[in-house]
Amino acid sequence: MELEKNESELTIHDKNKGGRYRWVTITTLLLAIGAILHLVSPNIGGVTPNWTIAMYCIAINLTKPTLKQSFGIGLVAAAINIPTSKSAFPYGNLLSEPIGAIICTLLVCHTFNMTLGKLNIKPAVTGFISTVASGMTFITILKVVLSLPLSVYLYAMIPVVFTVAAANAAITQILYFPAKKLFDLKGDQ
Amino acid sequence: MPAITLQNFSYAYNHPKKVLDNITLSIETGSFSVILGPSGAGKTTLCLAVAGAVPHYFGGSSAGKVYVTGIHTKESSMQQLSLTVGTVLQDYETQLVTMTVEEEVAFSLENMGIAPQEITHRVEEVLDKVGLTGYEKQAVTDLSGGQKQRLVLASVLATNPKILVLDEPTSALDPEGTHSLYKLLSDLNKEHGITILVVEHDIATVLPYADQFILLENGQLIFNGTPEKVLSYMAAKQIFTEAIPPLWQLKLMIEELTARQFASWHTEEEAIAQLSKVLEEEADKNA
Amino acid sequence: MQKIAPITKLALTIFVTIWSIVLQSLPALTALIVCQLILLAIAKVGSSVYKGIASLFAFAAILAGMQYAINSDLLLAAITASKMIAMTLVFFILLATTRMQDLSAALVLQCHIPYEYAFMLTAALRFIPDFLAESKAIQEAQACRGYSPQGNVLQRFFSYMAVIKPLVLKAVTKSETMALSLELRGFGSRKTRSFKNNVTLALQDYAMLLSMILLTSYLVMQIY
Ligand SMILES: Nc1ncnc2c1ncn2[C@@H]1O[C@H](COP(=O)(O)OP(=O)(O)OP(=O)(O)O)[C@@H](O)[C@H]1O
Ligand SMILES: [Mg+2]
Repeated sequence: MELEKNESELTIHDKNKGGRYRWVTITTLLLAIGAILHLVSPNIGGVTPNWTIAMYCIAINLTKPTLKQSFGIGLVAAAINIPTSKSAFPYGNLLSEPIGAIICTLLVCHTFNMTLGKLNIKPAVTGFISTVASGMTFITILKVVLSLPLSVYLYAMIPVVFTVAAANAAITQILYFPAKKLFDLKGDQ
Repeated sequence: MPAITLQNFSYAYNHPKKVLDNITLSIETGSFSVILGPSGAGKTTLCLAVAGAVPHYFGGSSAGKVYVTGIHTKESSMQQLSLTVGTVLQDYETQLVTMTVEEEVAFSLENMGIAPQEITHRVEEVLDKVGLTGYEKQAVTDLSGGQKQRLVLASVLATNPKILVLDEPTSALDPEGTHSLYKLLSDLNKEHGITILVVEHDIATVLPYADQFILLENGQLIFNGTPEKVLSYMAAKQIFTEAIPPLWQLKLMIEELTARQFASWHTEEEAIAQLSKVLEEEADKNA
Repeated sequence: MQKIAPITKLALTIFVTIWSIVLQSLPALTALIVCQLILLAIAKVGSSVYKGIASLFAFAAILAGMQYAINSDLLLAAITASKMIAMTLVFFILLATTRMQDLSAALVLQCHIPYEYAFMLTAALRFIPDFLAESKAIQEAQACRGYSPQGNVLQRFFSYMAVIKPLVLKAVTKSETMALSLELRGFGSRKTRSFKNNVTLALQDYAMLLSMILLTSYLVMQIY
């Protein structure tokens, strides 16, 4: 009889316990995808999106990591692309990706809702701004280290950064919602 | 002491929808037990409860107790439990997280903080156990499905768990791979005394090895006992009959029609032997 | 080169970069490039590395060309290109002679980077071939269903997204199994974690580190 009584009372467990490493695994897998797209992606109408940035933006939007974690995510993102691609200037990435990831985290965790009508456009906004932040860092380092002329910087590089950012905004926006739906289905974070 | 004990255990991923409902069960040390049941019955959840992922990983809500080798899972941690229970999840691909075969096995040992020399030694030993000697430096990606499954098993065995839990380990293997995996599990069970708990849909493949069947349906424990008893129960009560192997359907039918009792048919050979004996007797009688 | 500890090669990477930035003369930069090419030859790296190096030279040439077109200073353009090559070449040496696993073990053990990040790096590399195969399969399936990589920019964009979306969803599903399996395998006790990889420094490593430091101080003193 004692046992019978015991059975009916379900005690609720701390929800946060689950998935201590979900942020690690989702970031790992998305960055792996980013790396292969980086390798094989065709340019679409002259623009090659920066898949790595798009992927960590999605990961950060999903898992909302801490700033320290996102710094690490950025470093890993840069490091993964060094051996897998013909990254012509690894140092640029090692600095620009952490900056992109941190900016993304700041936007995700510390800003209010962003909506356009009914549509939540936070993924697009974070995708855009992070790509601009990362891209500007990258080309600025490239300019300083290689002492490139200002005109190359202004008229050749900056426009590229903004076009790539626009493509990334679209990618982040399109991929985030289906991913989020699946992520919430079972995840317990 | 039983290896695994569940006392009135209930569990809900999303409170209060119970996925396991008041389960009381005990699994003897050194036994080879198989969990049966239709899709969504709670088989995976039961495995995860033994491994401690339920409730430690999934949260949710629970009632009752689960003990593995005397440890109360709810009061322990997944890391602590991983020393006792080795778990192989259904999707084996994703459980392999390193570049090469030997690193995969070493990964489990490194998690435990085992000294490097000891790791080298144990990796060698456990790869030999699962028949992957010679593949040490091979890239994980280049292994076949069956080899990947064995590698997952090796990486789990490396830490010397007393209990092995496997969730549908053969769902992606061909018949040959399935057979050799169960042969291996049976050896581990018989020679090393490891308690084995598997989920398997194809009852015929586990019949030669199993000594306990656990039948679940809708989160409830319907019946458990020796394979013969559980299969007879399933036939008698018309529960989950589609899973009864054709040979046993035949056996149970003959028994019902002729009131003759056969011994267990663990393999086709046993069935043929017993049937031909019966046929000879009948022929003698008629002559 | 393969026998040298990962951390020494990491230091070499950093020092070569410093040298590339500090050096301003074309002969000196050329010498640095030649030295690195010799190191690669000694290390007997595979042909794929040389392909990568060829594309690096091409990229540098384009950069130089662009710069020459704008301010028609041939020397400056050549120096820029050489700097670029000199500092990137060292990454080829590092990666062609060091296994990523050893490098990440060194990062954790000697640079005290939290293990999660080293894990992310090697695990991502582990899954790249799997996803590559997956993306090919999806691409073929989509082609059967009439998606084509033709049409205007937007059409091409969306047909490409139709390949990527299933890939991302797969990653989300896998991430749960992977996180669960990590915990089931006792992942996470950073304090007690051990490493099988041997990344300790030998005498030759200390010698190399010392000479690199001396060379750098000399260069810096020469210039400032
Ligand atoms: N992570 C989860 N969160 C919420 N509900 C879940 C979760 N995992 C399983 N369930 C639900 O719990 C029930 C039992 O699932 P479980 O996976 O244990 O069944 P199963 O017997 O293993 O089924 P199958 O044969 O399909 O593998 C199902 O209704 C399922 O939808
Ligand atoms: Mg299941």
